Amino acid sequence: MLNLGQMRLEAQRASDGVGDSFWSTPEWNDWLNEAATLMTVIASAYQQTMQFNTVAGQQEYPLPMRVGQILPGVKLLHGGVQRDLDTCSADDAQDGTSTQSVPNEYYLRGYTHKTVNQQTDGSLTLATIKEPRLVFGLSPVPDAAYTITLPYYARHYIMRADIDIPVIPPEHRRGLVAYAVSMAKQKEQAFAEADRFMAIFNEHAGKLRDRMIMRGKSGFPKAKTDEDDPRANKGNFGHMTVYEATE
Amino acid sequence: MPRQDGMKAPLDDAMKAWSLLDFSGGLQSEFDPNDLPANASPDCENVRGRPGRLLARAGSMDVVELPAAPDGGFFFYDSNGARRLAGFANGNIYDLTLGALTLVASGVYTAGNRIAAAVLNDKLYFSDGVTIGTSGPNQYGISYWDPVAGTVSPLISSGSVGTVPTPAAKCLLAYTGQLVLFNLKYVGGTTAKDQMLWSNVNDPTTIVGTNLFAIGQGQGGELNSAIQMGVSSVGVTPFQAIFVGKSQVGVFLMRGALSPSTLSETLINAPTGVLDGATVQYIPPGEKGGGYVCFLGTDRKVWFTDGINSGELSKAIRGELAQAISDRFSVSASAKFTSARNDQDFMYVLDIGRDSNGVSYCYCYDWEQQSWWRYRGWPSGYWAQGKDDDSQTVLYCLDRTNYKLWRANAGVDDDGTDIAPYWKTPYVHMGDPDVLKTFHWVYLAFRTNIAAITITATANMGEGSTASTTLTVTPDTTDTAQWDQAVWDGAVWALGGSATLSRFKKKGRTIVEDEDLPGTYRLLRGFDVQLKIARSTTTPSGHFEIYGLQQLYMARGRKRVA
Repeated sequence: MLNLGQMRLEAQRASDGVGDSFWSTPEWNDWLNEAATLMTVIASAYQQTMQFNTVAGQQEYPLPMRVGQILPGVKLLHGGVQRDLDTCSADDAQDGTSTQSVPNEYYLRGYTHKTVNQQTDGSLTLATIKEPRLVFGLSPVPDAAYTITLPYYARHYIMRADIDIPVIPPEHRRGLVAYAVSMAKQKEQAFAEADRFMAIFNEHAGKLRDRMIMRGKSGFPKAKTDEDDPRANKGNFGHMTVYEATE
Repeated sequence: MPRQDGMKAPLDDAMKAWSLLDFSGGLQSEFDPNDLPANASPDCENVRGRPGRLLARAGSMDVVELPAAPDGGFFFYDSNGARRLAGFANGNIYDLTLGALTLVASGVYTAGNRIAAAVLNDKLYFSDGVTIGTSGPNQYGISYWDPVAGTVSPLISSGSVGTVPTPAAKCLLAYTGQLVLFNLKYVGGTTAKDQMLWSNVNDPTTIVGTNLFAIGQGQGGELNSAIQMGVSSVGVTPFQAIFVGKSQVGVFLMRGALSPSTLSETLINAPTGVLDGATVQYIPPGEKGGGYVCFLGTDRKVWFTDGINSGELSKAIRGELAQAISDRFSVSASAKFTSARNDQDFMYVLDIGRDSNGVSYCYCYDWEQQSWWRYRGWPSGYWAQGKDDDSQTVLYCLDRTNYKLWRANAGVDDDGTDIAPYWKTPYVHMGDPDVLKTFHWVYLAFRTNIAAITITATANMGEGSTASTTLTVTPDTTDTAQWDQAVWDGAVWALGGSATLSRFKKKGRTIVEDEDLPGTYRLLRGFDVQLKIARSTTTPSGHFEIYGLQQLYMARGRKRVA
C-alpha cells in the first residue's frame, strides 16, 4: 500500500537520490501527482456523474477540479423529463437576458486565471497559479433552476500529505514511481535511464486501461472492438481479438 | 544494418571524467588561467604541494613577547654544542633559546638599526653597522656573545702592526675562518659603503687595514648583502665564493683566497641589485637543481644566480609580486623585506611584510618542485632557521609588528587563527572550449582528522554560475588524536604512534539553485569550469591533505554554426 510519502521514498531510492538536494520534496510530489493524473487520463479510469442546479440568468458554471473530461450524454431535467443537451461553441452561444429560456446546448471553455502575479524580475509567483479547471456554459441562458446531469472522466485528486493514497490501484502504483524516476533522470540528463523508467510507466498505464475497457464486459470467449483505443489502427474497424478454444 | 555515423550510441549519455592528481605546478597567477596546465593554480593560498598531493601549510605559534621591535634574530651552536637563539631588540641582546625572554646584555647597539651577525668559533659576532662603542681607551664597531662564558664583549683590535680599530659593518660573514666585514663605518666616522675588510684566520681581533677590497667601486649603491655560496661547480675547478649584492644595481661573485692580490670580483650577469639584503638565501644543491643564491631584486623580481649566470625565479607570479611590493612601499617608504630558508619543506620563504590591510604575506619558492606558493597569515619580521630539541628543523620569526617571537611552520592554525587553505584549478575545458558541458559530480580523495572540505565550481564563458558542495567526513576515534600540534621546542608531529588518519573518498554534486524557484536546483553548465577546494569554515583547524579530484561531466554539444 504505497502512499505519497512511500512512493516518494521509492522513487528516491530508484534514482540514488535519497538525501540529494538536487531533487526537492515538492518536485517529487509534483511528479507523482503528474503521474497519477496522466495515468488516470490514459486509462480513462474513472467515469463518474455529477449534478447541479442552474441559476436563472447565470450562463457559466466553473466545474470542480475533479472534472477532467465531459462525456457525451449531458442531460437537463425539465418538466420531469431528462433532455439531452447538444454542444455548441462558446462563440456561438446565445447570451444576454433577452434570450433567457430553457437551455438546449452547452459549451466548455478553460478557466481564466487572474491571480498569477508577475514579479519585477519577470518571474511568476507560481504559488498563486490556480489549477486548471473547466467552465461549463449553457445556451441559451437559463431562465430558471434546472438540474444538469454531467457524466465525466474524473481527474486524479492532488495528493498533498504524505499519507495521501492515490486512487490508482495498488498493483499499478509502481508505475507512478517509475514516472517520477523518469522525470528525475531527465533532470539529471540520464536520458537512457529516463526512457527505461518511462516505459515502465507506460506499461502500467496501458494495463490499467485494458482493465478499464474489460470492466463490465462479460462472457467468454468474445470479440473485443474498441475504436477509442489509440493503439488500434485508426480509420479502420478497430482491432479484433479472437479467443479460440484450445484442446 | 550498420549504424549511421550520426546516430546516438548507447554510451553517448555516459558521463566523462576529468581528473586532477597532481598539484605541483603551484601558484601561477601571471599566466592566462585558461591556458595553465591542470596541476597549476591561478590562485591558491596557504597550501603547499608535495608530489601527488596538496597540503595545508603549517601554522605558527606565538611564544613570547619582545620588549620592542626586534632588529635581528640568529640561531647558532655554542662551544658546548648547545643550541642558541639570539634576539636583538631595544638595544639589548636576549637569549630566546628556551622560549623565554632572558636578557643577556643591554645597550649593545643602537635600537632601530638592523643587526648583521656571523658565527665564528662558536661565538656570535654582531654589529648594527653604525654604532661605534667605547671600552676604556678602545673604540670598536663589533661585539660578540660567548654563551658559554656568559659574556657579551666588544671586539677590541689586537693592536698589531697595520691593524685598524674594529669598524662597524652592515654585513658580516665568516669565510675560511676569517671574519669578513662589508659596508663599513670606521672608528672616527668615515664610511666606506663599497668596501669589504677581513680579519686574520681565526683571529677576528686582527683586522689589517690594507686587507680590503672595494666592490663595484662608486656605483650601484651600497653593499647590502653577503652570503657564502658554498662550493660552486661553475668554472673549471670547484671553488668557494661569496655572493655580494648592492642596493641599487649590481650583484657580484667574490672568489679566491682573502688577500688583495688573489681575491677577484666578477660582476654577475643580472640586470638588478638586491632590494633588501635580508632576502638573500643560499639554496643547497639537490637532485633537481639548487646550488644557487636567490634574492629579491631591485626590479621587484626574485632572481637566482650560480655566480656567473642568473635568471628570474618569479616568472609565474611576477605581476602579483611586484604589486605586493608596491603596496608595501605605499605603506612605508622604508619597507623591509626579509626571508628564510625552510629546509623542512624545501622552500625559500620571501617575507614581504604586512599589506595595507594589515595582513602579512610570504611567497614561498619550493626549490625541489620549482613552484611558488602564497602564504597568508604567518608572522612577519626577522627569520632564523634552527633546530628544536628533537633536532628537527624549525623556523623562528621575530615579529616586527607585534613584537613577539613565533615558531612558524608548526601546528594547524596561527596561534588559534584559522589559516584558511584553498586551491583553485585553472579554467578547465576538458579538451574542447567550444563544447557546452553539464557538470554533475565531484569526487575528492583526501585525508583528514576532522576537516570537512568545500568544493566550489564556477562555470566560465557560459552563464558564470557558481555551485558548491561540502564533503563531510566521520572520522573514527583514532583520528581525533591531536595532529600537527605546535609545541615549543618539541615534536612537530604530536600524533601518537598508534593513531592514524583516515583516507576518504567522497562525492558531491555541484548544482545551482534556480533563481526563479528558490529551493530547487539544476545542474551547473558552461564551456569550462574552475574548481576551488577549501577547508570548510565549520571545521577550520583540521588536517587538510588532498590526493586527487575528479569532475564528472557530460558534453552537451557544440554550437551550431550552419
